[in-house]
Amino acid sequence: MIHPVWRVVGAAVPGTAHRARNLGCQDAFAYRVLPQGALVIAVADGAGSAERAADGARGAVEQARAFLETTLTDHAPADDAAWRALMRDAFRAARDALTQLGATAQLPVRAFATTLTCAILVADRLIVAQLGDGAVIAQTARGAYVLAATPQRGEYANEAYLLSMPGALDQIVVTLSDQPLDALAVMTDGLLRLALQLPGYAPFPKFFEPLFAFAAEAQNANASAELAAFLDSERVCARTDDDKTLVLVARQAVPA
Amino acid sequence: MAGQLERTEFAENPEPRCAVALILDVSGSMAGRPLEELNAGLENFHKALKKDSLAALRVEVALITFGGEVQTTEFVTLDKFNLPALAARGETPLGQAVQHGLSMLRERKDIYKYNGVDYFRPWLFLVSDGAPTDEWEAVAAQARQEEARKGVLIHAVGAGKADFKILARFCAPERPPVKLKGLDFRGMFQWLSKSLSVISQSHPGSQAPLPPVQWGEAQK
Repeated sequence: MIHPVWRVVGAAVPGTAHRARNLGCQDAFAYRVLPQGALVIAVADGAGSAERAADGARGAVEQARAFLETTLTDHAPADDAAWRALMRDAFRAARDALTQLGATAQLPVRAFATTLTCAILVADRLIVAQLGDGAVIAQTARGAYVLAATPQRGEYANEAYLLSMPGALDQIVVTLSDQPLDALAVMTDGLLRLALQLPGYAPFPKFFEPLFAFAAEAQNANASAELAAFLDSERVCARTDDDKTLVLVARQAVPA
Repeated sequence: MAGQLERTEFAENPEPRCAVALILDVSGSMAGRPLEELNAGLENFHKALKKDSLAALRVEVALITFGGEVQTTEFVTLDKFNLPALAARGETPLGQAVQHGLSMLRERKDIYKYNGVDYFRPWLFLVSDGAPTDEWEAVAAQARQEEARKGVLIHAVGAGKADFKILARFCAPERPPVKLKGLDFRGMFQWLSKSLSVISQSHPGSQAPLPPVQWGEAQK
């Protein structure tokens, strides 16, 4: 099987509200292209009210990424059930990492509260697992924009689903889809109101089309700095005061 | 390459809303200084929230007054809020006023849902200086139930000769009524505007703490 060559660009920047309160960025992301061509992405949004939120988010994405990388290097799941189980195990590993952080720091696990969203792209298969209000948007080879992971929200705008909460592992939503994709975006909630149309969270094409074009051409070391500058730009900050994380994936542009 | 990024356009979504039902006692006993202070506090509340650009877009206030009869205004954002000069008269139909407040908040949430507008947990802020002169027990039970299922957040404030045993029946055990220090309605409204600024700008999992209550004491 020939695997597509993916270009990946990611950035996370602190929101203006966090800067104003002297808090750093409490979002984190991690990704890895595996030798077999699979791509693993994890993003997390540390809860602002948790004292070690940034460490929680970082710990969760690193642990999930490492777990998926190790497991997928060994063997690929045989069927849908096995993929779902793999994602659940990755979230359990991430949650265990938070528990470990808590034990080391002698703090309750909620001090490391964070959301977690993971995506795996392997050939034409996309597997997404979600806990919290991150989002995953895919662009199909036919040009359609698809919401691959819906933000989980309670009734109220400030309610949260967090990896540190009791029963969190039962709240994970795993979705699988099989169709050729051209591009993928994984984000935290800081960008939701700019990228998705409420109600229903329909992807806003004029937001994604230029970003995916940017990712397809991205090949120098500056790309992630350019993406970070965009996320930190005045016109983005005028619309959201939260931390923002965006990982963009696009098929490599074929030279003419 | 960065030129691509400048081409991005953003979805237009309505601001999330925080509905607040202000339920104020304007019965005969509030006449004179108490009412003057209440009016002054309300005016400051209006000004303070209007100055906070995000809260001005997100906080929606409806005024429900009870003195002789119950009068209500529609939920509006602060720029559209017409500050009425309150006058004091008549008895204290507190039960009926809270009943109105609860059903207005429920209706408002339905409107948000229907229109796909995100919203915060609404507030019911009750101020009284006496004891109800109407049927209040069933309404109090309903208020507590609504609070227990997290449909609303209830704050009750008693001034002067308020009956705190009765006010407590409207409140969640963890949020007992507050006894106002003297006639510090200005301090109370200042706290309310600051608290609503905090709430209306909170994100999932990042509720900043509310300012301390210096204008009264919780009656446990």
